[in-house]
Amino acid sequence: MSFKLKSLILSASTALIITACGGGGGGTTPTPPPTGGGGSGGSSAPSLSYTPGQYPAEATYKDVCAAPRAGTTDTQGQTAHENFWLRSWSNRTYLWYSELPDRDPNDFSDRLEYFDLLRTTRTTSSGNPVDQFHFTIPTEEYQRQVQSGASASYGARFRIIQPRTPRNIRVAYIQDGTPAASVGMKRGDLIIAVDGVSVINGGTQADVDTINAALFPDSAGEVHTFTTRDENDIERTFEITSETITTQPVLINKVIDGMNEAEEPIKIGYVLFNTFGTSIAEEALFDAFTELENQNVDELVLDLRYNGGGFLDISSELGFMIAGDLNTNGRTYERLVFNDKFPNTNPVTGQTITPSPFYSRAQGFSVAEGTPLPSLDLDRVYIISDTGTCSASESLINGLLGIDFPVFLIGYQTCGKPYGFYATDNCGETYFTIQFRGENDKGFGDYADGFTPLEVGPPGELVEGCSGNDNPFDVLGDPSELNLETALFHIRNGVCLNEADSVMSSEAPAVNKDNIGGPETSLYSDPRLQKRILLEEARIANMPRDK
Amino acid sequence: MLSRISIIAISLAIGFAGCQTVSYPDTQIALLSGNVAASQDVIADTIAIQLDRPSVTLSRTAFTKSHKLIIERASAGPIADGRRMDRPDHFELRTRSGVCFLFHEESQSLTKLEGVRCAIGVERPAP
Repeated sequence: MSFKLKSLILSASTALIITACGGGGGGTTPTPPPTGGGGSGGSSAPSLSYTPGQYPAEATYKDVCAAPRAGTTDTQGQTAHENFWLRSWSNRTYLWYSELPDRDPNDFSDRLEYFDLLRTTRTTSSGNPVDQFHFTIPTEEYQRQVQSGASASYGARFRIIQPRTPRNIRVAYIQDGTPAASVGMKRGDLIIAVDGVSVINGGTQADVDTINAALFPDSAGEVHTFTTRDENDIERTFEITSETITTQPVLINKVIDGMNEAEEPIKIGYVLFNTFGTSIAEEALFDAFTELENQNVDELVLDLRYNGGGFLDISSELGFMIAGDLNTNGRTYERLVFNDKFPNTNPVTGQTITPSPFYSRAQGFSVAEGTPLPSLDLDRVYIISDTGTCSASESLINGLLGIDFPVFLIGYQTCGKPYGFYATDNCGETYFTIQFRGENDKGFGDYADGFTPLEVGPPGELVEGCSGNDNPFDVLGDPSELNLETALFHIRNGVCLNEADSVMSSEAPAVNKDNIGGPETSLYSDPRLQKRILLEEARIANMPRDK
Repeated sequence: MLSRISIIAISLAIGFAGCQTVSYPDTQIALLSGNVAASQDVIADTIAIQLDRPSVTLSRTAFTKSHKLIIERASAGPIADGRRMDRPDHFELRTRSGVCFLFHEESQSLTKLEGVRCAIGVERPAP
């Protein structure tokens, strides 16, 4: 028996014993032994009788599977049973359940094919599907993805500007003290090749697999070979080893001396905030805004161009830290809205729906619960946005707009995800179907086309602001970086920087939904690949372009 | 070689002893010492069992600079997890008389750690 296994057993047993002593109350809830697992049967499967418009309780069909998994609560059934569960579950919880077709579950031999039908086909005003977030993933894979507290990476974020061949993948930023920093990777570096495969032109599925494996390592200790080209067209090849790295949510926090429209000197805070998706984001924001508060900044430029969202409660806290008590006290940051069968109760948790306020105190993610948060008490905020600005980042924008707090967007259209879901497992597949949307204090929450700076124009909900561009070699946080320069210019002059207009991006954004489901030659034309992209954001989901 | 049963029996005895004598206020904050990686493996296994997860991955700096550790479900991407409403779990590394303990804030449980070396901690600032 290995030392590790011995330790595991010892640790497990002591944990159970001490918890069982009841010293502190609570304790972990022991997992009940599985019952009836492995398709042992013993009870008759539920009816497969289909009556249009009648939806049996979904619990009737839960865990009745065509292929029961050993050691689970699964029982033997047929694919049609799984389809019946999908039908009833969707009818009860899908946000737009009344727009779903009602098809006989017995007519489909593929549960995923049946699930694909259970979505609205309505489109937004710009012609995009309202529901672009309907997907599944094998439960085993989803569980594997959700088990860790830290992840393997190089400490570099890659920006996939052009996912099709010829691809354009660059380094967006790196964290200090990581393997990427050690080998000298820099923002803007173009990835030419990995592990002997051309990143730009590699067209086979094997090439794509190699590229994904190198760019997104699964575990620490993986060694991959990269060839990059820098700003001066110098190419170099090096090996890099992945490590388990904790994300640094606030990459830059600084104060810039600027001028206001009255030509008076002012202090302008700049915060590059890259994720709400880790608990330490709370502490990072607390520290950053405490520093800005101490320096009495007059304006704030919040850079969310790479922020794909995360914890909504931390987003609410950020709203308070920007706008302060006077603007937010007693106001709603966001209220979850489910379908009209559940006006007051969350259909998944069973809890009463209560609006989320702008939290003025820490919620205990990484700052002691109840700690008063710093606040800049500003009159407006500049937010740098791009297609990577998503979910909880958009909730922040919507939450502030809901209390008439002026938001100026600089950059480009946000991703457009006001919706959410609870991952739900059945028979080894985890399903994601839209179950709620977030609404602000004004009751607005339909921004499926994202938020767009007014100067950029439709589609998207238009917000005051200017067009910009994420130039790959501009140094983030430098006053000459185009988006930041545009914000500083607007603060001083009250108008957009004309120069920004002329250099609007000609490069396709990394995860622009416009690219998904595009022309047949698009790498995103395969529906199953679309799901994968939606789930994992930055991976290159690929098929040979012309085959 | 010890059988699994005997190992469990020994650990039960240790556990009862710990239960009778050690509570959170009796302990002090701690940081890992000695073979940090091996200790982190044990702690990761312990946390996985407590949280009923297949496994947990810790940062290489876990409990080396702070006695606190936050464990959260890793994101499956901004689309799947861009609007999260769950909360993380909080752990502390504690020690008493050279014995290391893991405190889980949410359940208020104190777990004795076997094969883990630690010392009374002095928080080190982040680099």
